[in-house]
Amino acid sequence: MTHPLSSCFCSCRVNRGGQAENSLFSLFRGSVHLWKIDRMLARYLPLLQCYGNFMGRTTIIARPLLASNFSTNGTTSQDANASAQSEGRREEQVSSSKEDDVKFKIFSAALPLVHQLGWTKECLEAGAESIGFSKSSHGIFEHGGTSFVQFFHRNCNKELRKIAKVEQIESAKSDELTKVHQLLEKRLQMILPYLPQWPQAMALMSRPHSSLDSYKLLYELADDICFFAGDRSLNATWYTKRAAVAGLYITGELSLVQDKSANCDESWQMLARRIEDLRKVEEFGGSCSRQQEILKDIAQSSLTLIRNLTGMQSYQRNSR
Amino acid sequence: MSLRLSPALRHLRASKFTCNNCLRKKHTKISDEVHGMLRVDHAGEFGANRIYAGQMAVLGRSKSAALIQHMWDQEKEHKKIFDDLMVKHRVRPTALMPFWHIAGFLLGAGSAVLGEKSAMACTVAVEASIVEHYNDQLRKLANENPEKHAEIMAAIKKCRDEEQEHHDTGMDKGAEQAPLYKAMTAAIKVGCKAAIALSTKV
Repeated sequence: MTHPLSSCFCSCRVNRGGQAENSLFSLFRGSVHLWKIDRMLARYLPLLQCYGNFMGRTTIIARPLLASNFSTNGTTSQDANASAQSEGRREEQVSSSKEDDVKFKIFSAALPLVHQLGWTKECLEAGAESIGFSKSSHGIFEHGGTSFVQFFHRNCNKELRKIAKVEQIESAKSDELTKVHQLLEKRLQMILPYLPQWPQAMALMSRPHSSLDSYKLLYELADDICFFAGDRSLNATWYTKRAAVAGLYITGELSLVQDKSANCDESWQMLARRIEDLRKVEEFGGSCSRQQEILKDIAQSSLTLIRNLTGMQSYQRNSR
Repeated sequence: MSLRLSPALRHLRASKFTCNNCLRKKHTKISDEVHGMLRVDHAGEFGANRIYAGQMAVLGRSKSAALIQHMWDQEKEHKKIFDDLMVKHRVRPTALMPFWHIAGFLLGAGSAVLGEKSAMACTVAVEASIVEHYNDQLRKLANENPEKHAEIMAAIKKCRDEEQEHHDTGMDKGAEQAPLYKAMTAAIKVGCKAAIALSTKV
């Protein structure tokens, strides 16, 4: 089941600019046909439900996203309705990219305020206000603080991708694990400025309703690191490598959060030790694969043995 | 409204013309469904390689060794094609790879133990279901967007034609004279269908 708020925002998205009020007004005037009532109910029911559920939090509901869009000018309600219906589809498409833009603006304005306000709705609120948006426009982040943290993660992943592209060209010679080490360190350094608030972010990410998205982000991160470190494996190693990198990232995060040493040196040393462990495991695997030849011979001779025992050799010789 | 972005986030606006996911210039991103297609094709070619490896392990010194080796070489080439496509589009390989590694070899070796004709019958059954599967994919891709998927379609077409050749060679070499031909091919075909369904998703 989706969050009740999310359905509210879906309807908000399509009908920005106070159309909710307009159409309800026309309903009361009795100038609307029955089929229109039907459609309107379907459209605004979630909104009304939401209103009931969150009477105390009226700021979130049915407010336009941008203060500038909020206008109840003199046009008649029917005109507004007709134009809304004809342009509804197009507006929906435009609004998604526009919404991302708005989200990004609010997000980047709120990020410097995290130190004072933490990864919270209030922080987004303050961020939105500081760049001239309505205080309630934080509502487009569907899960408040959680969405904020996820947005941060996504941006860090994007940034890492960009760094990795440059690195790939520079350090073409160094081996895969060294690159994994470098990239992991770069990625962990991105959370350093927000370290005091990071336990809160980790808690938000591990909440049940956001854990699925968190895993997706973690998978994206591990996949990027492995890919840019030069991993081109297409078998079970693909999975083990990504699992190892994801595990390393989580361990690094946990150790950073508790680290009291200067410059978090202990954590970086811990990371280097874990990478060395991985290198040892890899060497062990390499020495195992050298024994494969012997295994092959054993398998082949046992197959011949089975053929002789079952009499297949003589069957084939006779059938020729 | 002017807005100052923090330097850490500025790249989001700049990187418009390179693909976010890989090192190349922006190429068309393919859908999840096509990802699944590449995944199953890669697994299939890998499995086919293992089948021929199994057959060669048993029939390596028989008179049809050269023929099987020739088909195996072609399969290796197919796998190479799909390897490249997988890396290019960053497709996740199926989690069942270790299983196909063993199952393919066992199927090849098992059928070859029953004789050369049975080995050919196994080839015929496998290639028949693979050709059918490739044709399904080609139809789907052609319906969706032939220009966008031109590269993938060309790869599939090449593989399909050669798999059809293998099928016909198997028929020529007397696959139908193998003991229990019908039961065996039916069983293998069912196995292939199940493998295809599994590898697309898992």
